[in-house]
Amino acid sequence: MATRSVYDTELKKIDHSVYIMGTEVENAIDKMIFAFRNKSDALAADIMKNDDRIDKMETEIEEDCINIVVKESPIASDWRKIASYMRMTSDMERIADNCSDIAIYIRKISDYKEEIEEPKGLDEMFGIMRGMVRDTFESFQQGDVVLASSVIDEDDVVDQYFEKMNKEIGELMKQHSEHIQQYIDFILINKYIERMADHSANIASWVKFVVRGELDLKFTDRYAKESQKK
Amino acid sequence: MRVNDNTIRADEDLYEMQADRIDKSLEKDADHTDDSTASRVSEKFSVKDLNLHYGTFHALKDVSIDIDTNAITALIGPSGCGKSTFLKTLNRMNDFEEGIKIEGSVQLDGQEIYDRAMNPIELRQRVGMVFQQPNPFPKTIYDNVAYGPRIRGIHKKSELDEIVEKALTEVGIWDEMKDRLKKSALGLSGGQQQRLCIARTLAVSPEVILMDEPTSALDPISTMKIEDLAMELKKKYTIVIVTHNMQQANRISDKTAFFLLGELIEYGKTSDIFLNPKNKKTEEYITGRFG
Repeated sequence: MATRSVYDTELKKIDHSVYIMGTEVENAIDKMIFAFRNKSDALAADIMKNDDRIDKMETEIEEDCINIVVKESPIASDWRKIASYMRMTSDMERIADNCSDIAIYIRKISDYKEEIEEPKGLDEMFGIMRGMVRDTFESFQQGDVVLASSVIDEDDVVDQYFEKMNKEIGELMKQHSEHIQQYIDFILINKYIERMADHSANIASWVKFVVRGELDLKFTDRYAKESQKK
Repeated sequence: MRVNDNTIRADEDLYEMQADRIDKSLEKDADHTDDSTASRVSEKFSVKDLNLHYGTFHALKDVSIDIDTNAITALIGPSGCGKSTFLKTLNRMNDFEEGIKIEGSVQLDGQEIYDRAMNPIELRQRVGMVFQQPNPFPKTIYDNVAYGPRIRGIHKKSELDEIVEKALTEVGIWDEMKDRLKKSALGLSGGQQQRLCIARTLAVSPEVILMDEPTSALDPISTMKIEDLAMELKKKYTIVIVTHNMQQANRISDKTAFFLLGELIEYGKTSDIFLNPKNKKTEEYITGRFG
């Protein structure tokens, strides 16, 4: 006989809220990429306006998680889920914040008096990061650890792009020194995309924890590895 | 403002010293990890292919399990799953049950406890038991604790006094009992009675303490006190506890065994069982989906 039906309903409600928050985050990214490609000031402003909604979702999920911990003391896979949701939603909220951060620069770029030569690889980098986020949420919905692992691996590709883009923007700065101020905006956008990919990989590692109960330690040692480089 | 070069160098030295200290402490941690993996925990009990029948009822089916020394092992499972039956096989408390048939091997420190050579009385002195309902004898507090030692032939008052004080101190109630040792044990609260029963078990210097739902009749504060006591006692004794309280098993035990319909379904480190159980039935039981 099935027991704990109230508890199960509450857990499902949280599952659903995380799913909806994921959809909202994906929408924000799509809007942001569209706004970047079209230099749409209005759409960029809309992304920033909508950020509050996503913040609120995170807070509500966090409250629901805390309540269920206090009331039901979840253990085993239930606990892995709740503990992970609290971390995942924080990364999701940061991705949404990064959309708004980029939106600020899209608005600045749309105000440029004259057109400048844009860094070419940025659009491609947007595409890879977008794919990572899509796969992350797909892996979450399907409990697909193989897909989650591939997202984590793909973060290295974005990191390489980030370095490549910095060089490309640096070259453009040299060639068009009169637009250095504008290119700084692109450098910041480049950094935000790289951060979004990091958050996406973080979420993917939590998906693996929910499904398998194993913590992917790749992210805990990334700065240690970075410190070895010269 | 320009910062003096010497200041920068001094800061750099300080940071280097701090980094050195961190590196050394990390190395030390790594050494500790190696130590703990190297020193393997020995088994107090080694049970192999244990089968137990009550008449036609097959109560334990091919149970094999090693119980670690100086650790708390929790036995969990729904009512009637065989966990209390299993507990009783560890000190032959089942011997007097009618129509009982036990097959397989149960070794205590490598010695077969169902061998003719094993004296069950001596076994129960080595493997004591605490029950669900506190069951002090209708005697004084002192006589309850001194009961076992007297049976074992200790009659000298000074010796008994020492045993009683030591046992009551070990269970943390000496200070509250020392002035009322001649009062009836039946006048104590449930929590105090249960600790007295544990003291009574300790008075005969056992090696193992079996606890059959020792806190199910107690209030939360008394429960916490018994749990704290169990954690303290495991330094000297091996403890096996049957509990229906998942949080309790999670809080105090080092290893957990999940029984279902007489079978040992899953056995492992408590942290693994409660975070990431391997068996679906274990998961369903501990999360309250059945049982």
